[in-house]
Amino acid sequence: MKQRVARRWNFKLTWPLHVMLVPGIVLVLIFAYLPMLGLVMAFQDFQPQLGFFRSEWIGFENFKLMFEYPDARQVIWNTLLIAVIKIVAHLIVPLIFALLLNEVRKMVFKRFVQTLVYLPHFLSWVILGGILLDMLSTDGGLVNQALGWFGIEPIFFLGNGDWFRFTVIFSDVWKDFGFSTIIFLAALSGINPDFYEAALIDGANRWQQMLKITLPSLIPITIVVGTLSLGNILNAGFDQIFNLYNPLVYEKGDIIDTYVYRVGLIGGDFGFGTAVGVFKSLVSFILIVISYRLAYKLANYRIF
Amino acid sequence: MKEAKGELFLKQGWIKPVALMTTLVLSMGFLGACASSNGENKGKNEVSSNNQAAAKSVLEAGKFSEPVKMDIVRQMTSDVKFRTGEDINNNPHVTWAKEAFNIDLNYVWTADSSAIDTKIRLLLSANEDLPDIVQYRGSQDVIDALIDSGKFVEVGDLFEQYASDAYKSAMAEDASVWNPYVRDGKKYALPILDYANNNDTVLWIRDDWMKKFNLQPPATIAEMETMMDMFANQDPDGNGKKDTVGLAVGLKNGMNTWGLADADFIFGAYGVMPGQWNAGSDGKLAYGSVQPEVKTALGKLKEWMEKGYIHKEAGLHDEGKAAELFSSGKAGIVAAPYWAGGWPLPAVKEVDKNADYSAYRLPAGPDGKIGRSQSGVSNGVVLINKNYEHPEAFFLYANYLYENQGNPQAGSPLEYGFEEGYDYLIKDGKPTWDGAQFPADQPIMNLGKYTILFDGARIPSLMMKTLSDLDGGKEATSAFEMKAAMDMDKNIHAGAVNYSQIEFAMPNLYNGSPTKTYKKRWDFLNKSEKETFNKIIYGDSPIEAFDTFVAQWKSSGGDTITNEVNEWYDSVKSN
Repeated sequence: MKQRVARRWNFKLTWPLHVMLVPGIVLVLIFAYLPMLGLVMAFQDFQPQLGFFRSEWIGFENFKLMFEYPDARQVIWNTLLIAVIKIVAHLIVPLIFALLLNEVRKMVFKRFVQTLVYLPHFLSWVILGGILLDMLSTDGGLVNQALGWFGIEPIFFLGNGDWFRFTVIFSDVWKDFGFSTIIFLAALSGINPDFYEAALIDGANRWQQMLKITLPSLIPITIVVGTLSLGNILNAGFDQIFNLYNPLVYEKGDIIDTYVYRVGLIGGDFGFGTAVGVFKSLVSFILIVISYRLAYKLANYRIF
Repeated sequence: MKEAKGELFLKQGWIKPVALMTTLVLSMGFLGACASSNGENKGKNEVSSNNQAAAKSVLEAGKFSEPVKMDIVRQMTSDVKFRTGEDINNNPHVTWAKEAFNIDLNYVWTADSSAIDTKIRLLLSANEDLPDIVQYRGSQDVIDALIDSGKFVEVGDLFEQYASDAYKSAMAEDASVWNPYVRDGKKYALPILDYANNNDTVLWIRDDWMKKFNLQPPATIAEMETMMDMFANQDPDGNGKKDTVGLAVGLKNGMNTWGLADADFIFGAYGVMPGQWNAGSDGKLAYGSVQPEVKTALGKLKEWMEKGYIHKEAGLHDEGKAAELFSSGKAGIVAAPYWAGGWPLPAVKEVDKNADYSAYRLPAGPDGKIGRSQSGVSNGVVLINKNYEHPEAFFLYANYLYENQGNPQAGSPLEYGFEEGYDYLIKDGKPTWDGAQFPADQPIMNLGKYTILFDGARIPSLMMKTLSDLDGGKEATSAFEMKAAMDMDKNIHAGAVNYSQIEFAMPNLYNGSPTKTYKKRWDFLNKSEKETFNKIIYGDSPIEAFDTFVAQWKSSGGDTITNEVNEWYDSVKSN
């Protein structure tokens, strides 16, 4: 009874805040939840002129079609492989880079480097695709010219399947690691300086300080970033691969998204495209839930 | 007690809106269904009871006595521009249509090419009222949806009754333009005609390189190989480096693309056209890429790749990137449309000011065969609403344009254009269409772009024939010839070259909507085709991989698709 009174009183005090929430909730409802009703398309032979109500209901036909595609296994495997390596690389590279940058004493240099590695994040893959095509050319491309100075034969980066995967992962990490570095740098600046002072007094050198203080302090944020990125396990990067791939590397470079683009959008099979989308979201959702539970259990870290 | 009541209220509070929503949604569905069936009945009655005599008398009179409104939805392509203060509903063309025919053109809405597909689909799925006329230029998919909505009138009969001879003869130049819009022998959309052979390839060669090695334009593939060898190995640009190739060709998007840096003619020289459906000797359609001749042509490309006649990264290059090789002076030959002399080839002069190039005829294969892919004659559609009371209004309008604007004769009211000061000027008693002559604040506006026919009336065969005549030394007398003569000399000559090989153009005879199996299997088949062909050319797979590909193509859906495509072809070709 007492509690209730307190709550009511509380509400009287905070109602303007609740009102302020309303526009946000309405927007989310209209633009995020309402469109989700469109997911019924995944179970329909959707015809735009018939709409949701009159399109034929075909159950799991669209999902079946996805796995009946002769290259389905290959496409899913390519996606997983590229995505997993990207996720791992996107955790490790920014972490190491942040640690290195943290050791830099000259502020000007540190800021300069930070900005420099951050910049590629703002380039679109449409532009980068064209630039990479020229840079990685076997015929006078910058990279192969540089390799030539060391006596290395020109490498057909975009025309050889294995090199293609390497190029895709490497260029993606290059493009975005500066962005993730910022998160780690923020976490670094949040570490209590007292720890280092105490370690210094105990005679710990910089290496020991990093191992015993910096790294353990970064574990929570690493887990958050890792958990959130697990949702991308079936996103191998459509923009990037779409702008870089070609018939020579279909075998190693064709991913779920490029496949859906060709069949769902170009072929106009919206039901099918939606079905794949639903499948992908479901897998991501399950993975996020599991990894979140794990993170909570193992590292005692809660995001929500 | 109080609490219980509150709870009940709460529950009701939830149930009510939900129930209301459900009823609303359901009833909307019903209403929609009713509305559509009503509409169909009404439409039928009206068409059958339409007083055709009245319509014909209007067509004869050339003008409506009472104002007739025409609600239009149109796609705005990026080349439609307006003077300040004007828009699609307020411009000289709208005024002209009112004065000439007493038709009030009323554009209900317009959308650009990226948005119109979604807008039309939403309109259809919401079962909303459709305008009298839909003017659309885009994917077959959307046209199918429009036709299958059942809200547009069968236009075949109307065309037979109302179209003028000029309009009919233009449409008759290629009967296959109707095919995509035929359902059960009836036609549901009017194809918009465009100039024929517009993107067909001719061979552009660097004249200064030919002169350097004392070469003649190649008449055969073998002669072209000699030429490519010199261009690739004997340093045609004289910079002391081996950095040139013979032929610029882009293979990323297939062996037969839309024209720029195309490989189609290489296959054509062996009598086959990949990537499209050709008529076989038995009259049935057959897919080009699985014919045995393709193997020979692929072998040739593989050989050229090994010898460096084509660029090592041709498989990574799309059309534009490959054409860049020519326009940056790294390639001596490129197969491209006749208009490439205006873009993108002239850029080569910025790299090498002595560079010169011209269009030549495509070379013949070992058996004397020549072939190239033919670009479509139709580009867009007009659909007429079933409930539109005056379908003859469209024909009145289109007939007039085909008679007076398509190829205007001296004295025609539209001889030079729609309105002086807008799309032409009279200077010293002579017409001019030169944009530079116009005052800066009143720039030249192509009023043809405002028409329901997208670019005004186009007679498909007229352009190439005119260019050929002009190149042959004919003096430009008609307005159409005078306009065509304004093009660059290189293009005019290339158009004539194009025209001289017109009989070798191979059309893609399957231009209908995707069949059932096609929808399911085509992406896989197409992907493995591109993959196999490129790997063979690169030597990653042996040439025998072609046979495996053909067997796989046939067994994993190709044969079924061939049957379906032929069923479709049989159902439309009688029209």
